[in-house]
Amino acid sequence: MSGGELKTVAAREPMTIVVNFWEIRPSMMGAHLENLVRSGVRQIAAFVPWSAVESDISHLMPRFLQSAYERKLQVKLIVSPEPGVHFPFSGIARDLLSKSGALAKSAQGENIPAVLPPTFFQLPSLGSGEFQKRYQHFLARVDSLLGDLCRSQPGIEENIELIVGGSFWKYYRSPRIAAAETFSGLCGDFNDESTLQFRKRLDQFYSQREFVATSSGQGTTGVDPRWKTRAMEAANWKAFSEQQEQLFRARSHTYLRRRAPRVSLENAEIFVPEADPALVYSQYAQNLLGYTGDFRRLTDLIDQYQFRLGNPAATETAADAKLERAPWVYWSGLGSFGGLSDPEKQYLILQSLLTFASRGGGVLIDENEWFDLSASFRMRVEHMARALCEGELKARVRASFLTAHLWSEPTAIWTALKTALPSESRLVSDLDVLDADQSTRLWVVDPELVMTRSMLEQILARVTRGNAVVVLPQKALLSPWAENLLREFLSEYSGGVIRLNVQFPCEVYSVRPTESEDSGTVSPGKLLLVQWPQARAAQGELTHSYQKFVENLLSLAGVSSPCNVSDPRVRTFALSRKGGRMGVFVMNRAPASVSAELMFSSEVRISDLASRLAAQSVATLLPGQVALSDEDSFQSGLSHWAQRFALDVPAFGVLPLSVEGWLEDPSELQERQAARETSEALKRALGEAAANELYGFYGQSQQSAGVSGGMSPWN
Amino acid sequence: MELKQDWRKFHAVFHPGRRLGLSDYSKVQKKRTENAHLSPIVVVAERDQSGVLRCLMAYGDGLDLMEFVGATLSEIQDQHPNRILHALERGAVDQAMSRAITGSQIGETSFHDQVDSLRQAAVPVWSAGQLGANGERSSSFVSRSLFAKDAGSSPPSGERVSWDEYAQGHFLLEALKKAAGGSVFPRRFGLLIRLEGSLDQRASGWGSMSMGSESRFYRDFFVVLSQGRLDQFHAPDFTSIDAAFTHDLGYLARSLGEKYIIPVYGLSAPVELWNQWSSADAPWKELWRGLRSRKAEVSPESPALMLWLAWKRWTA
Repeated sequence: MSGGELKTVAAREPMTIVVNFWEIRPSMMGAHLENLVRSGVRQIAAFVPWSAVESDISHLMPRFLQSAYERKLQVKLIVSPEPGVHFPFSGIARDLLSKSGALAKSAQGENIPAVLPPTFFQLPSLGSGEFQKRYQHFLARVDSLLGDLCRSQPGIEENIELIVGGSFWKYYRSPRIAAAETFSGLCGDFNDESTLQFRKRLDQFYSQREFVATSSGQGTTGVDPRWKTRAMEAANWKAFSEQQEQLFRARSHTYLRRRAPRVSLENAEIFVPEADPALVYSQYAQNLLGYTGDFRRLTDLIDQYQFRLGNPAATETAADAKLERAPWVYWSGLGSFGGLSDPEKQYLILQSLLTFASRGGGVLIDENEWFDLSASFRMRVEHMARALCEGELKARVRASFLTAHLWSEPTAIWTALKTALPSESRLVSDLDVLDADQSTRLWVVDPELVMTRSMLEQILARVTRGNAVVVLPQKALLSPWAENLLREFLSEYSGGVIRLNVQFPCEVYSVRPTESEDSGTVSPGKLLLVQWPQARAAQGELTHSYQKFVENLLSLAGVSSPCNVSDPRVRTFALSRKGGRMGVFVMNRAPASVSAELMFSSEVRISDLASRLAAQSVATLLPGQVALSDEDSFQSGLSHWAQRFALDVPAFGVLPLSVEGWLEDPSELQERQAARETSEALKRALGEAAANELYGFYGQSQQSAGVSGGMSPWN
Repeated sequence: MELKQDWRKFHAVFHPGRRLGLSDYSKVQKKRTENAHLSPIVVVAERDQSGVLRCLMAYGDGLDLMEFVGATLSEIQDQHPNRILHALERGAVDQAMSRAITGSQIGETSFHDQVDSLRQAAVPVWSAGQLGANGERSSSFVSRSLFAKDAGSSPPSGERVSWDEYAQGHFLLEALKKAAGGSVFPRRFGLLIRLEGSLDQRASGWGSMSMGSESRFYRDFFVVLSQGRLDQFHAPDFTSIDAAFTHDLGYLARSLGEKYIIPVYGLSAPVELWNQWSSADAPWKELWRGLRSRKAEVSPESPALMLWLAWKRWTA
C-alpha cells in the first residue's frame, strides 16, 4: 500500500476493533497495544474527538500512533465527527452546541437529540459557518500533528489511514417519524442558516443556461418558475442535502492533505445504529427503566441500512470521482447493543458483517465488547471475515433505484422494489455508479430526481451498453436540454416501441448495444418510460399496483430472488461466491428455534459453508494434514438436487449454506434439464452395453463400476 | 487524558452486565414472564386526529413490540395483560429530553444527572396493568389522567411513577448516596474500589495495573459523591505512586484524599466476589461475609464505618 493516495476501498480487515486512545494513560499505552497484538489484532480503528485534540497537552494522539507503529499495528484514524463516541458530546466542542443557531433542525423544525452516554446533546449543524470554521481548524491541527509525526518518524505514514465518514448527515431525521419508519420523510438540516443557503443554491442552480426557458425563436426568457414551486420543494431539498454532504467531504479532504500528503485518505460511510434517530425514543425508555437492549430495532436498522451501502463519493478532482465509500457499522456498546445477551450480540455482529463486509466495508466494534465475546465465536467471525476480505463472498446487486438523496424517503416505487428483492436491491444517489456497475440489471429512476443533460447522457449510455432495463418516468424532471436529448434518443428507436398499459401506461424501447460492445453476448438494453401516478397522497392506495408492476419489471430484466423461506421469522441473505456458486445465509432472529422450508426457484444442491470457510484457513491444518482441494471438499457433504429443503435454524442462528447449480435464467434451466435427461439415458445405455459385453459385470451399480461418462457441466 | 466521568468503566464496574448464554436466556425469559410486574412496557404515544392516543414507540425488556406502532394503548395491554403499561406523551418526552440536554450544556452534569432529570419529568398520561400472581396486588388498576390537548410547559397531571424501582442501581452506590451528609459519611467523599483479577483477564485500558504476587492484577475505580449525587467517576492515576505502596489500599485511598481534598474510603475485593455481590439478593450479607473472611478489605477500618456496614448487613 503506498501512501498519499486516495484509493478504492476493499477493507483488508472487515472486523476492526476500536481503541479509545484518550482513555489510556500514556504510560500504559505500549502495554495496552502489546496486549492487543498478542491477541492477534493487526488493525485497529480510533475516532478522533476534536475536543480531545484541541486540549491535548500531553500529545496523546501522536503517542498512540507512535506506539501502534512500533508494534506494526495498522491504524484507521476516523477524523470526521460521528455519534456514539465515548467522549463528552461525542467530542464536539461544547460551546458550539450551546448556540441554538449552530444546531441542526429536522424538516419538522425540531432539534435532533442524541441520547447516548456519556452525555446527551443536540446534533450540530454541519453546514453552519461557525461549525465549519471550528471544524477546519481541527482538521488543520490533525494535519499538522500528522505532518510533524511523519517528519520525526519516517515510514509511519504506511501504518495510518485517515478516514472521512459521513458524519451526522444521515441522522438529520425526525425521531418522531423515524420511530415509525426509519428513513421516512425528508432528511436534511432545515435550520435558518441552512434554509438561506438552500434558497441561494436554488437560484444559482436554476439560473444555469440549460434550465432557462426559451420562447419559440426569441431567445431566453428567464428562469422557468416551475422549478421553484411548492411541488418541487421536496425534490430540491433532496438535491441540496446531497450536495451539502458531498461538499463537507470534499472540504475535509482539502484540509487533510497539506502537511501530511503521504498519509492515505479514505472515504467511508459509518453507521452507528445505537445513535440512529429511529432509536431515540427506545433509548429514552431504556434510560427510564435503567437497562438497555433493543435487539429487534437494531436488527431492523441493519436491514434498512443495507439498501444504502456502497455509493461512490463525488469529490473535487476527476481522478477521485469513481471512489467507493466503504460502508462500516460501529457497535459502540454505549446504547442498546451494550445491554444485549451474548446470542443477540453474536447475531447482530454476523448480520452486520455479512451486510457490510460483502460490499467492501466491515464492522467496527469497541474493544471491550469484542473481547467479552467467546473465543470460539470470535474465531468463527474471523473465518467469515477472511472469506469476505478475500472476495470469496460478495454482495449481489440486481436492481438499483437512482434517487436524489440516500437518506430521504424515495417514492412508493422504491418500497415495492425493496419488498420484491429484499437483499439484492439498493439505493444509489451518485450516477457515476452507472459506469462502474455491470451486474445490476434493473435501474429505476426516481420521479423526484432533477436531471441535467449530462445526467441523462449517463443514464442513456447505460441503456446502450445493453444487459439492462432502465425505467424513466414519462414526466421526468428534465432540464430543457435534457428534454431535447431524450426526444432525439427516442426518435431513433421509435420504430420498435411497444406501448403497454399494465398497472401503469408505459412505452418500451429496445436498444441494440453499441458497436463497441460484443453484440453476440450482450442482450439489448431496454428503456421504459412509465407514467407513474402524480399525487403522493394517492400512492398508499396504489401499493398493490406498484408491487405487481415492479414484479413485471424484474421479470423483464431477468432478475429473480434466489430463494424464499416459508417462515417470516427467518430470512435469507444471498452472496455470490467464486466459481459461479452462491452462499446463502439463513438467519433466525427469533429467541426460539424455527423449522422452515428453504425454497429455490430451480433445483440446487446445498452443503455446509461454515466448515468450508474454516477448512480454507491454512492455519487450521495440523502437521501432516493435507488441505482438501476445493473440489474434494465441495463434493463431500452435498445434498441431493432439490428445490425445497427443510431446515432447523437455532435461536439467533445464522446458518451458512453453499449452494450449487442455481440458475437465474429460466432458459438455462430448460437446457440443464435436457442435458440431465441425456446424461441419464447415456448412463443407462452404457450400463446395459457393459452388462452385455463385459464378463463379470453382473448387477453392479454404475457408480461402483466406475462409470462416470455422461457427466456434463450441468450436473 | 483523564475523563472525569468515564461512563464505560462505571458501567463495567457497577453493572457487570447480563452475560447470558442461550440456555440462560431462556431461563431469563421464563423469569421475565413470571415477574412481569417488575418489567413494564413504556410507550411513547401521540394523539391522532380524533384525539386517541396511539403508540409511536413501545419498549419492554426482552419484548418485540414493533408491531404495535400505530396501535391504541388498549390493544397493547390486551396482548400483554401481565405487564404494567406506562404511556408518555411525545411532546412531553421531547421537552424533557431538551431540558436534560440544556442542563448539561450550562453546567457540569453527567449522564446520570440527565437520566435523573428524565425520570423526574416522566409522568405517564396513562398507566394500566394487572400485576403478577405473587400476591402483591390482587387486582388490575387503571389510571387515566386528564391531559391538556396541547403539551404546555407544565407537566401532565398524571400519577407519578417511581422509575427508580425499576432501575435498580448498585446496592453500594445507592446506599452511599443516601448516607452522604449523615453521621458516618460527609456530604462530599470519595470511594476507591479495587477489583483483583487473574492475569488472563483482558486488560481494557484501566488506569492502573499493578502486578502483585502470584500474577494478579488490579482494576481501580474512583467515585466522588457530592451531596448524594455522582460527581466524578473514573479510573485513578497511580503511576506516580511508589511501587512499594501500590498494594496498600489504605495508602492509595489517602493519596486520593490528598489529591481531591476529601475523605476517601477504599474497598478491595476479588472481581468474582464483587460481581457476586452486585447480583445477589442479599448483597450486604455477602459483603459482610467477604469482609469477615478477609477476602475483601475496607480502609480505613474505622469503628463508624464497620458499624454502618454491620447495620446494613442486619437491616437491609
